[in-house]
Amino acid sequence: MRSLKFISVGLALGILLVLLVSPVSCLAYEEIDGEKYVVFGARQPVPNADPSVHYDWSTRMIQESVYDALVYYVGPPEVTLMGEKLVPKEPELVPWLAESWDVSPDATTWTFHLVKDARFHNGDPVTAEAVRFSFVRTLELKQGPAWMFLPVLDKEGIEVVDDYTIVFHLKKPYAPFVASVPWWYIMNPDQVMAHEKDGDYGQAWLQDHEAGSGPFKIREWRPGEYYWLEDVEDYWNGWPHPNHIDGFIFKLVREAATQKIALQKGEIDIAEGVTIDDFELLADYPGIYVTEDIGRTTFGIKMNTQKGYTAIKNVRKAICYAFDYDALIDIYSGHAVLEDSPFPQGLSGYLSLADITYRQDLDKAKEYMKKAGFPDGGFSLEYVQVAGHPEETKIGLILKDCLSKIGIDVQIVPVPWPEMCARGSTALTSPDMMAVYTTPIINDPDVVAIQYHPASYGAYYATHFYYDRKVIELVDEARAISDWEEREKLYEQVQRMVLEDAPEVFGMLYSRTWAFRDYVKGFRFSPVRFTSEIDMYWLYLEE
Amino acid sequence: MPINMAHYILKRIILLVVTLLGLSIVIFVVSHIAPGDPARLAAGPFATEEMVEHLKQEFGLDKPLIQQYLIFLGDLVRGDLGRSIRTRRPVREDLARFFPATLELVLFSLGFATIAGILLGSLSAVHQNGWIDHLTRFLSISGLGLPAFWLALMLQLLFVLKLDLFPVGARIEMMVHPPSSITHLFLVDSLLTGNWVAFKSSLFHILLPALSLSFPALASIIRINRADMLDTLGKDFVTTARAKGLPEKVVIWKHVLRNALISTVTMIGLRFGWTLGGTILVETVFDWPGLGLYAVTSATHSDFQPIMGTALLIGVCFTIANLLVDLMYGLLNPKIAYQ
Repeated sequence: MRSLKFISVGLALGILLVLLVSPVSCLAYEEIDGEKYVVFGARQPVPNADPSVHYDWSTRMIQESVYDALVYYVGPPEVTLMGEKLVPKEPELVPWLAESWDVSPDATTWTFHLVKDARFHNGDPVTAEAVRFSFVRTLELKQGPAWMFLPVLDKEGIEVVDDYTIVFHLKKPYAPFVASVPWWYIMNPDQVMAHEKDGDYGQAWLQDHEAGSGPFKIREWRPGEYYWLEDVEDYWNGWPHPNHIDGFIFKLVREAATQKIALQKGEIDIAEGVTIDDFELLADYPGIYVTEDIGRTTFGIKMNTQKGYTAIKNVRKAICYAFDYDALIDIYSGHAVLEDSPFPQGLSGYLSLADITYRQDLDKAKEYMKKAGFPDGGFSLEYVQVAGHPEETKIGLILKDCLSKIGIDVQIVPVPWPEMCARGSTALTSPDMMAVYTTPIINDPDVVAIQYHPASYGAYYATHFYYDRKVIELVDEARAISDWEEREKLYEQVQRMVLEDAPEVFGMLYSRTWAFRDYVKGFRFSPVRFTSEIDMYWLYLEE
Repeated sequence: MPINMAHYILKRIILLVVTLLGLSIVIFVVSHIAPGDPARLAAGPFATEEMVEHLKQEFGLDKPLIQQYLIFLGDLVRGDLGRSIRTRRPVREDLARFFPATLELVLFSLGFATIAGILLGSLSAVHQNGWIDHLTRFLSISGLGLPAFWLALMLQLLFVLKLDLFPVGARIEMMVHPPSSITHLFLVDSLLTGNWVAFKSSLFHILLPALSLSFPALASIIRINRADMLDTLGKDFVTTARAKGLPEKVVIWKHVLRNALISTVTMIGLRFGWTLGGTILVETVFDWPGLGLYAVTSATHSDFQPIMGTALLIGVCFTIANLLVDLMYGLLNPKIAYQ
C-alpha cells in the first residue's frame, strides 16, 4: 500500500513541478528577427486559397492579402468607436492594378488600362495577358467566383489589346461588371502553369501556395492550425503607413470564449468572434479597444410565396405587421439597425422607405388576416432555422409569440444548414418561413435585386420563390444600362414593389464587431467585405 | 505465440475486414441519403446550376449511388480515400495530418485516466468509507456528471486566464518548430529526438485538453475498478492468501488487483473508442488540430469523402482496441483460452 501512495504522491508532485517551473509568458504580437507579426484570431479555417476555386470570409481575407485585382474596394476610412452613432456607409471603388477603366453606354464593353509598375512576388510584371489568364482560368474551372461572370462572359470575349490594355466584350449588357471585378484576383500564369499536374490548371498547388502580386505572401501554411503571411517589403503600390505590420498570422481560435481569453492574455492581437456580451466587457478591458460598424448582412424571414398559406399576400402582410421588430434589436443588445427597405442601408441605390415599411401594428395585422379570409387565423406555419443558432431560435420564439396574437401557430423547426439549403431549393419543399442571413458582396444594387428574380431560385436567399413579371423586367433592364441615374430610378421601383408584396419579413442589419489590442492601429471597415474579414494592408503598429 | 492465439488473431483480422465493409456501406448510405447537396454547398451560395453540375461531374456525384459506392470501394482497396469536395485536398493526406493529433490527445488522456483511475479506484476500495473513498467517489460522480465542454472552459478560465500557467490552445507554440516526424506524436517524437523545447511546449499544450477529455473516462475507471476490487476483496482466495501470511501489498497488488482488472480493461477498451469519437468539443475549446474538428466541419458541409474516411479510421481503431483488450484478458487470467 505504501508504494501505491508513493506513486500517487509522486505523480501529483511531478505535475505540480512542471506547472510551477515553466509558466507560460504573456505575449504581445509575435516578434521574430525584429519582424513584428500581428496574430489574428479566427473561428473559421481557410479550406482552399485558390482564387478561382473557393471564397468565403476567411479565404477571401487571405486571397486579398496575397493577390491584387484590377479595382479595389476601400473605406469608408474612419473607425466608428462603440457608443457613437452608427451610420451605414458606402465603400469606394478605386483603381488598383487598373489605373482607369471605360465602359460603353450599353454596358457590354469594358476596357481596363493597367498600371505599368505592378509586379508579381517573383518579380514578373503584371500584364494584360496575366489578367486574361486569370479570368479564363476562373471561367473554365467554373468554381469560386465564376458565377459572377459565367452568364455574361466567354473566354473568347476577353481581348488583350497590348501589354497594359485589356477589353472585356460581354455577351449581354451587365452594368454591375466593375463592381464584381475586385473579387477576381490576378494570378501569375507562369507560376501557376509551372505547377500544373494532370491538367489541373495548378489547382492542387494553389490550394496552399500563391502566385500573386499583393502586399503579403505566404510564409507557412498549416491547415487546421494557422496560416502565416509576411509582407512584401517593396510592394509595388507602396504601404499606407511607415510602421506597417511585417506580416500576420491567421490563427484558428474556434471558440468565441477562447478568443476572448486569448485576446486578454495577448496571445492574439485581433479577435473577430467575440459575442455581444464579451464585446461589452472587452470595451472596458485595459489594453483593448473594440470597433462596431453596421455591415451589409441582412436578417430576414423568407416566406414561401408559391405554396400554402404564405402564398396569400394578405397573410404575408399580416405576418409582417404582427412581428415585433424592436425585439430584433434587443436580441442583439442594441447592436443592430432595422431594415426599412428590401435593400440594406449603405448599398448603392438604397432607398429609405421608412414611412411605408412594416412595423408592429396588431390592428393592421388582424385587418389583413380578415382580408385573407382568416379573421381568427386557425392554421399553423413552419419556421425553419439553423440548428444551434441561438439568435435564430430567439427570433423564432418572438415570431411564435407575435403570430399567436393573430391566431397563427408557429412550429419552430431547427435543422442543419445542408438540410435547410436542400429544403429551400424548390418551391414545393421550401418551408413556410425560413430564417436567413444574407450578405451582398458587391456594392451594386443588382446583387440584392436579383434575389427577387427567378434567376435566384434554388439558392438559400431566394427561398421565398418570389415572382413578379414587372419586377423581373425592371431588374433585367437595370442590368442593361450603364447610366447610374437611370438605373437608380429602376431600383427605386423594385424596392417599392417588393416591399408591397412582402415576400419576407424584412428584419435588421447587425453590427460587425472586432476587438484589437491597443497597439494595433489603422483598421478600416468596409461593409462590402464578408462578415469577419479584415483588410490587413492598412494595419500598423503604434510605436 | 501459441497456435490458438495466432488463429484467434487471424480470425479477428478477417472479421475486421468484414466489419469495415459493413461500416463503409452504412456510412455511405447514411451520408448519401441525408438531406443536402454537397456540390451546391461546395460551389457556394451564389453558384449557378452549371457550376453545380460541373462540380458533380468532377466528383462523380452525378453517377448512380451504387456506382459511386463501387468506385469508392475500388479506390479504398488502392488506399485512395478520395478528395474533399470542400477543400479539394486528398482525404488520406488530411487524415494523416489530423489523426496523430487526436491519437496523441486520446492516448495521453486515456493513459492518465487509466493510471489515476486504477490507483484511485484501488485506494478507494482498500480504504472503503474512509476519506479517500469519499473524495474519490465525489470525483467519479463529478466526472460522470460534468460536461467535458464546460469543464474545458472552466479549466481554461482558471489555469489560462487567472493563473497564466498554460497557453490558450493549439498543439504546440506557433514559433516552436514541431519535432522531426517519427511517430507523428509530438511528445514521443520530441523525446526520441531530444528536442526539449518542443517537448516542453507540447506537454504544456496537451495537459489541459487531456485533463478535460480524461475526466469521464477517469470517473468510469475509478467506479468500475473500485467495485471490482471490493468484490474481489471479499473472495475466499483473498482470505486464504491473507491466512497464509502474505504481505498485504502482495495480496492487493498481485491477487486482488489483477483479478479485478478484467472489467477495468474492458472499460478502457470501450472508452478508447468513445474518447476517440468524442474529442470534438475539447478540440474546439483548445483548438486542437485533430480529427474531431475535421469530421464535424466535413459533416456540416455534407462532405462525404472525409466523413467516410474518418468513420472508417475510427472503426479500425475501435476494432484494434477491442482486439488488444481481448488479448489482455489472456494475460490477466491464463484460464481464458482463445478459440
